[in-house]
Amino acid sequence: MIPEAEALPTITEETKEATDAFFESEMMVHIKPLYHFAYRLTNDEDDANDLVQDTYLKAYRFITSFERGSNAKAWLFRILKNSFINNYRKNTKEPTQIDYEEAEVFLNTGKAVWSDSIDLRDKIFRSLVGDEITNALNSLPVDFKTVIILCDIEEFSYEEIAKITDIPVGTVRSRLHRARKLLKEKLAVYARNMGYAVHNNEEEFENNQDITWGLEKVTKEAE
Amino acid sequence: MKNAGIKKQGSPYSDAECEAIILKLQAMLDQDKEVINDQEFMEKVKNCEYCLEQVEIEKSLKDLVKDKLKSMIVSTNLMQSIREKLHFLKG
Repeated sequence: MIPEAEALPTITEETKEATDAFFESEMMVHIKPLYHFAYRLTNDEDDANDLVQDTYLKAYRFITSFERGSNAKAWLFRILKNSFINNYRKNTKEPTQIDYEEAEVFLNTGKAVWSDSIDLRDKIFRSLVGDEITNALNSLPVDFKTVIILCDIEEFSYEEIAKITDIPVGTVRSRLHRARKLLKEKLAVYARNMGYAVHNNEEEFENNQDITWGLEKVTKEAE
Repeated sequence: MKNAGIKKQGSPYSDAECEAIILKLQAMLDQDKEVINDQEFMEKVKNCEYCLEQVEIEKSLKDLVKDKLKSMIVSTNLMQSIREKLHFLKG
């Protein structure tokens, strides 16, 4: 937890040199993944630059609260995530997103019943380009997007994600599960738009005598 | 949650069981120690063709996200700008 600024000890002259050396060697080396995370959160280069700068300035000011020997990268990610939440979340530059609660309702009403029947091994998904994956990811609620980025791109452990996002490990596990379910739904929409049929409807699934458990090319139009 | 499981035809698991299994399979792929150390679950997965197939599907999603969302190029000005601001902060 980053304490309130007024409660923090200041860097004294005798420790300043050592602190600067420590900051340079242990903190500055993480600028690339930090920028990557910031860009994925903001979807804007300038905002990402500002966010990373803010993060480093806060990190320097609060460096005495960093426990030596602990995970510096995770600590920086946590500062960045909190800065984003505090300063950027209300920014109108944020792309259109479905609300977290709305997503929960969607996932719990049965509308997403067959999302797990979508076979992501199908070549249609491999043919999706980065922009389509990015758009699908960006359309998720920010809490969902955050855990997927931290887990699948930055490869943090569940324990590290829990510390960065201030949620229990069990919640990390379930949030990732829900996030991936929703992401599959988004990817299925892309697949559908590209001319593939996806079994995401219970009735369609039950009525289909030849269940392929995944995607099948639409051939009716060709016929 | 209604019918959220994999429910491939012939699967021995109920929808609720499937949902719980998928959550744990994802955690297994994420190297979550709690799941990896769950010998009973790991044994169950090894002996379930539906679970093994689902593992491949979940792995595909992880790979897709990681492979397609490549690292961004960090502006050289960013590092310089941070150093300048830190220098100012240091007084």
